[in-house]
Amino acid sequence: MRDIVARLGKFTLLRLVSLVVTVVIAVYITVFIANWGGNLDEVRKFNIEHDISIEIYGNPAFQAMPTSELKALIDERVQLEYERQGLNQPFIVRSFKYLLDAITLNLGRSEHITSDSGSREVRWILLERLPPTLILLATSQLLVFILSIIIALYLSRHYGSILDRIIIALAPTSAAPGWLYGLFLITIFAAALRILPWGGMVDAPPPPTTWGYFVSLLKHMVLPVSAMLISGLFASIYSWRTFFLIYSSEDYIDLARAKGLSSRTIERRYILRPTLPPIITQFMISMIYVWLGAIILETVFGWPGIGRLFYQAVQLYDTPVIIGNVVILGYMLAITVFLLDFAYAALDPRVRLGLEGGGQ
Amino acid sequence: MFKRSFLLLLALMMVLVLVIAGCGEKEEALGTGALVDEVVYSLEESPAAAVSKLKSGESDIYANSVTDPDLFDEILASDEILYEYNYGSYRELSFNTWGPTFEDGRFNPFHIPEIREAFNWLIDRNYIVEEYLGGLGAAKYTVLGTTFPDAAIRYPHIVKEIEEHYAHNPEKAKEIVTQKMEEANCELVDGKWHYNGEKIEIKMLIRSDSPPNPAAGNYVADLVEDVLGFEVERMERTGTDASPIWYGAHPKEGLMHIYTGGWISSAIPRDQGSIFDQMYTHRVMASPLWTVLEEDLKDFPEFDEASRKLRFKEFTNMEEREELFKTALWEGMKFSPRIWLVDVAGANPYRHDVKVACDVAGGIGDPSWVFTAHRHKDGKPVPTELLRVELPNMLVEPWNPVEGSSWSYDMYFTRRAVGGAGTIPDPRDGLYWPLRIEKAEVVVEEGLPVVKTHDWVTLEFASDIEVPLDAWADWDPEEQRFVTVEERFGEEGTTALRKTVVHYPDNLYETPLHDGSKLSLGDFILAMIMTFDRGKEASPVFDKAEQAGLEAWLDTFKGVKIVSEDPLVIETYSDMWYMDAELNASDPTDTWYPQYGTYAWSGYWHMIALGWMAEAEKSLAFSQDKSDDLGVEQMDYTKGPSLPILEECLEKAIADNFIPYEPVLGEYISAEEATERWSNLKAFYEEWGHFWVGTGPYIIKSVHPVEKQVVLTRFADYPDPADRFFFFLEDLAIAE
Repeated sequence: MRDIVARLGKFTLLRLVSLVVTVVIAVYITVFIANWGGNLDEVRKFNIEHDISIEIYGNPAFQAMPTSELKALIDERVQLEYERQGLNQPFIVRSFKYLLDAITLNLGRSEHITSDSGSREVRWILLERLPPTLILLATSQLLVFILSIIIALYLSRHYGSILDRIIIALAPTSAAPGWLYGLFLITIFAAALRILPWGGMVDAPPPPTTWGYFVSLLKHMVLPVSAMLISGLFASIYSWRTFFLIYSSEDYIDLARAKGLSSRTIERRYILRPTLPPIITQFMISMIYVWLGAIILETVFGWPGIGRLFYQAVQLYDTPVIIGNVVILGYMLAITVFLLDFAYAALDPRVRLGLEGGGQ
Repeated sequence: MFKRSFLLLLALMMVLVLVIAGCGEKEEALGTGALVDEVVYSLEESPAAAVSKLKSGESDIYANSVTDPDLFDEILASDEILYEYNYGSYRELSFNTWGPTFEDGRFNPFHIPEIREAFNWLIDRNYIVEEYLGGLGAAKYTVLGTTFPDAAIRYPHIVKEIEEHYAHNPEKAKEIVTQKMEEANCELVDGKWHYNGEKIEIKMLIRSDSPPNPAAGNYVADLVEDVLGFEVERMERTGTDASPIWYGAHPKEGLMHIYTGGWISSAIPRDQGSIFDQMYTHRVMASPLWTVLEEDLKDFPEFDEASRKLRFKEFTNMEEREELFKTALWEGMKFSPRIWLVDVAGANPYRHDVKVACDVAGGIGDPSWVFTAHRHKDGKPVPTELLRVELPNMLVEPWNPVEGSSWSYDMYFTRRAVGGAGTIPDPRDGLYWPLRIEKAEVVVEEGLPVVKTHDWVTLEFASDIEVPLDAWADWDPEEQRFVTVEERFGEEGTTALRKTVVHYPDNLYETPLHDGSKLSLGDFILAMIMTFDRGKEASPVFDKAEQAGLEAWLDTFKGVKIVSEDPLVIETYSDMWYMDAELNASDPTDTWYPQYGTYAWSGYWHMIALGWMAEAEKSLAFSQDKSDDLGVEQMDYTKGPSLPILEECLEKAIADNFIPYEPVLGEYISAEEATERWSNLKAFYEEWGHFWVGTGPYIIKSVHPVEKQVVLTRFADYPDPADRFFFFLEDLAIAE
């Protein structure tokens, strides 16, 4: 028993270390890329110098100032802005500071972006955008996931049926992204029929009552959720149906059928159970990616989510916000992968943690 | 006969009754305050969606410039939408003037001024306007904005002569370029220019994200290739990617020959005299592309002198100024380190049953919409329950009245809509009109070319303008008192180039604030103190970003004196002056209406004191710079994490009956006024959920940051007639 615990401990430690190292490397690569390997500093410096020159010269109080004084004033303001944005330090020094802050989850202050309510704390900026993204994407992902599993199971039992053939024929529709369907849906239901809103999260002005707000929110979710559903559902059904069909043709299924077990029992015990690890993995990963939001879809529907925030941060080169977003995603992925190792062991009797030379 | 006369009389009486009733109804309908009960602002980033919503009646105004030609066609085709133009941005070509060769030995044809000048004939500006802007623009030959006062009102004749002289003539351009290239020992081989046996390749940096570029840039590149005979390398880049090449790199590196530049004017410049120095000389812009012009300018001494004189206003009358403009404009065309292509117009769309004024430069914005937006029926204004306005951006940065969000879309709400001002600019020509002041007298030193247009200001000239010794000229943050002119300049005192006397109306102190308080002299005095104090190191609200600006301003500011407290009359003495008398009486540091910060937000002493307390105890900061220094949030009076901190400050203020800068303000603010103000502010916060108290025609009803919506509601006690500034909706009469 002690040996098992020791092996389990060793496995856990090694897994944790490898995951942390992976996260550190991923975050540093993000820092490096987000700053163009440090070259972005030059661009930002030019922009600061240009903007401050224009701003100061645009002020009539400074227009008659002697050239040398004007240049000195511009220079002073430029230096202040360099300091404010940390550009007075070499990028390599800042890059490790970014990394350290990120790994310790000290997300710090943004360089440009403020939260909608006016905060410069990255954690507030992210937290403020999380609920809209969760509401929209989690609903869509859950619907896609649950519907596709249920329909796929049904189709695997009715392989070759008309519905099966229709769904398979529709699978290529998932090649188009959700935002594209979003544009079609907007054109039909908002522009032409005028029965659903163009975008945004709620009516303007927002309904004063909670119930009214909720109804308005639901109304605004119809089109974006539908767009994601259309885009994701058929390919997902196709994928799971194929998966279930493979499992349905295993020898032990034939044996179960030969033993006279009911279809439902076979489905539950012999098809669903062994497919649970990939189902859970798929589910967990899809939920994690909710964190990233849907950049274009949120933009098309004017949805104030994380995806748009990320896009805005990239446009403004707001490194702390970009890193904050990525490091949380990294940690969530790492923790999920870590937990899934244990989940596999619990769900699949063929997997044994820490045993037989380290297990799977 | 009698019957017919009776019927006629009856009909006349009925008409009379109807007319009187109609007039009465109109009077009753307009009254005072805004005509709109509620304005709902929401975000719409897509101009196409915004236009569709205008068509369907889901919104009333899209406060943004539509520049897409296809969308403009859609607006033109719709009976539901009207629009107004604004001309806020313009496009040019910047040349790399280094030469004759770059550091790697490559020849640069654009070190030759005549070749740069020839581009004025080469390019068909009207073609760019029609083909690439769909008519949304105007050909631009000179550095002056085609619709701004210097080009449109003062010197249209000079601009016209230049336009005629430089009319599209590619043959002439080719002839000049050929002659100059041959003089520079270049030769045309197989239709392409060579230097020392090497083909000359022109690197043309074309913005990919600045309409009409890249299309217009590629059109110019085609001309350079096909008409002039140069090989062209087209480098299409976004603004970010382009800036290290055109703005950052030294011209001697030769990373680009031509750049398709773009500029923006967000307000109407009344005096463009200083733009020559900015665009054509080394004296303003810090980029190497400009600093190398110092050498080039030696070949254009007349331009150099005219440009410098215009910037420093070294002229004594308008005739002299015109001569300087003439020289600068013509010589500038010959110098041509950059040439001007088009003024880009934007269409600002709104519903057909709405009227709203549009600023010539900034479009539908602050303050044009505030005093003019309303619905009309059969051409007559009618009270409106709801107006829905969509903006392409909003709620970008924290809102506070000292150094809050300076984004123009945030200032739709935070400036004149909820605040107040001494004067406001006319959206048609940029000249100011009184809002809260009654009249002003401007006295300038003899010889200064100042003119007046409106009757609310008088203009006089004096040989000597003495500044009273007891006027306030500075602020001592440690002793908390004003420094007098005598203390600052000595017993002899000082003189000023300008004196402005601003008169407020008798009922000034009846002006109602949104929280039920009345405007008081304390509001004015606090604004005066804060003008100095935030730039002083010893101040608890010192902001180092303010220091240099304060010092520069003090170089020209000579003194301020309150001549009468009731009615309020304030004299200001300064060496800074504008050509328009109206502008000399419109700066916040001339009217001294309680306004703060770079963008002159209005603020009243108790609401400002609240933020002052939060900054003094380092819990929040007014400016972004200081918030970064302190590691605290930038103050927001309407939402977010600032509110609980400001609420705590309010409780402290109530407990202490706090009066800021008490050694001075204690003389102007009584304990009773302080008690009433704090009590009103608390009640206001409890009712509206924010601390932004104003005197403007609208109150901030709600701010929805995540949903990106703002709701303004009508301030019932606003004293001014609803149609006071409806004349902004009329076309400006320009004398021929």
